[in-house]
Amino acid sequence: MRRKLNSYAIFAEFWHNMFRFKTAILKQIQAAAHLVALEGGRIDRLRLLKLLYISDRESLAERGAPIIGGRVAALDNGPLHSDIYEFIKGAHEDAGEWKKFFTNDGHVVIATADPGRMELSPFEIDKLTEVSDRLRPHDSWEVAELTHKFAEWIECHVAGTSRPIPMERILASLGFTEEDIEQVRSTAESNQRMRKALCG
Amino acid sequence: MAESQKSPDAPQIRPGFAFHYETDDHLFFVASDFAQPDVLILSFTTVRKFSDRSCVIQPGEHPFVKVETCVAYNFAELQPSGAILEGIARGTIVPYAPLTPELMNRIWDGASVTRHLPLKCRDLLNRQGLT
Repeated sequence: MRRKLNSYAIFAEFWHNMFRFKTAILKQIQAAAHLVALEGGRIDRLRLLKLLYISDRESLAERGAPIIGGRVAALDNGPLHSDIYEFIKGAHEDAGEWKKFFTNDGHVVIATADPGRMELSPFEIDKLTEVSDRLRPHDSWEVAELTHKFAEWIECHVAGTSRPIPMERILASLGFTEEDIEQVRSTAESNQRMRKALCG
Repeated sequence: MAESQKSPDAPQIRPGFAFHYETDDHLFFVASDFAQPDVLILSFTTVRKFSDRSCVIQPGEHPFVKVETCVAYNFAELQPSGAILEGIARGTIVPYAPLTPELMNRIWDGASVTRHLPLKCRDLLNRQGLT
């Protein structure tokens, strides 16, 4: 018998099944730590979220893989990584890991310890550095405004809500063909299955 | 799992040991010393315009490779050797024709020039004298 799903359950099932790159928490923390360090150890959380999103998007465009990946959502202030946002707010189930390296002062994220960079590649470190350097002359709201021009945000955003942005939508916005997207998806999912099988 | 903890009848796994995960059609392979607790696992992917071309493999260089293929260094993983042995025992890891030593040398050469291999993986290869 076909299950009856209420609207929340349909959304939850869609969110759960949606293709996305799953990245180790430590890699997400190291990417954030690199950006915080480039800003002198303190960064406005809006700026951190936007720099991470822009870096990830440029990484996708250049090599078909993000730096941190994970769940992405369209909010009023632009797209962001939901996991990072929840880490900062202390709402993520693994927020304890985040708190080993960061604390908050209002809306400012402050580095308290260095997680290293060993999970990152030279390309990823360079990309984060390049984006941070390029956007340094712009304040956080100007950086957020840049992300309002991204097609995937324009298409997925509904005022006052937080809606998921499918990875396929981001890739399509970047000019990837359906065939490219299928390969990106299949490679990522295959590696995720292997990782899950070997390390749980 | 350290070498001393392995069963005497455990399969002899060397760099170049290739495998599939269950019925998945991607090919993975061991790219470091299997006697160490953590092992570098790499995989192949079809070459696309956005691919890392640090190590490109042509059809005929390995039975799995039917089209121009490259090593997906950005998906490199360090995994416990014991988990791989357990996967083989359970049948979830399905061995495939191993990569030749010559091909492995090219893959290590690629690892030394790619910008996409995580630092922890590059560090492991350096410590083992493979890059």
